[in-house]
Amino acid sequence: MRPPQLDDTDWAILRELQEDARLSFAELGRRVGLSSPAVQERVRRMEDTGVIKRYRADIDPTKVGFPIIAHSRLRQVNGRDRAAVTELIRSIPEIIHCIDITGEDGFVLTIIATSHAHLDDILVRFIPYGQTITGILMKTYVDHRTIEKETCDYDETAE
Amino acid sequence: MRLDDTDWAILRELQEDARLSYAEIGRRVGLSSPAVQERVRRMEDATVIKAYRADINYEAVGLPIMSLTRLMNVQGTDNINKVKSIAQSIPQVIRCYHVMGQDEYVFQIVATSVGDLEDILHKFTDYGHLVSAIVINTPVDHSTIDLDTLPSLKDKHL
Repeated sequence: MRPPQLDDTDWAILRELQEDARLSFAELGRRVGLSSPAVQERVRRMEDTGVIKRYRADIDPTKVGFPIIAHSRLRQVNGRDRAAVTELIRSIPEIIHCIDITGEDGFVLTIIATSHAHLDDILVRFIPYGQTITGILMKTYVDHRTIEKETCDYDETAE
Repeated sequence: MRLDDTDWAILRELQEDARLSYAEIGRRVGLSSPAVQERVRRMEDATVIKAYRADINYEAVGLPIMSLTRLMNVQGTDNINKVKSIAQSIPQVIRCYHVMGQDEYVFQIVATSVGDLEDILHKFTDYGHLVSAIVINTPVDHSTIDLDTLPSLKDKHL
């Protein structure tokens, strides 16, 4: 897939919004050297083309009553159970993130819990479908790195 | 920090759309704009709200490959520190955390191609046992943490 044409100003806007999605168009314009309507137009275009998926406040679960953040790999899920497992995952609000990966660990879950007992109550629901291997998330060393133009520079010769 | 129902309503709105104006949030939760602003500031100060992020579509900007890679059996403090600094220095490593229990470092990596990913992974191979997988999709993508849908929390608070 070829990236849509983003120029340096688009990238400057993307950088600012990845770091603070609440910046006003006026402030954003000031930082990238554009008028507020011109910035707004570019942001709208990047939203329309799906470059920007959404804007969200990232909240700290440990500050709102969930001291435990678990990282759980769900292994050896039978192919015919995948749809049911996906459904189950989506129905549990404590699972705040889930990715589906290649290999024998089918799903990787991020689970927030009020206690170890609470975490256990969530994990037992997966017993019918496979094995869970769970660890507790300790320190985060990189959290949502801002993507810059240089990271995505297409190497045409490598194609 | 103790959050009341109105704080939770504000958090819900901001998790769904971080660019909403204070006036619009106020309209939705039944408060004046300055009152919303005051509550938001309080939650920012207490780092209940860590950041406001624009989530970009990695594929759409030319990063179609996403990997979840685990690094196990890292021996010694020196190597642990090296792994952390390598992870922090590689722009394609978008997330890195330590998981206790499995005692491993988990990296989420985006790349322009499989070759690009391989070059990144090579930087870690000297430090432990690497297990790498490709992310196929994301069935739950940073879902909203909401008091109404989390009865476990509500019970605990009542």
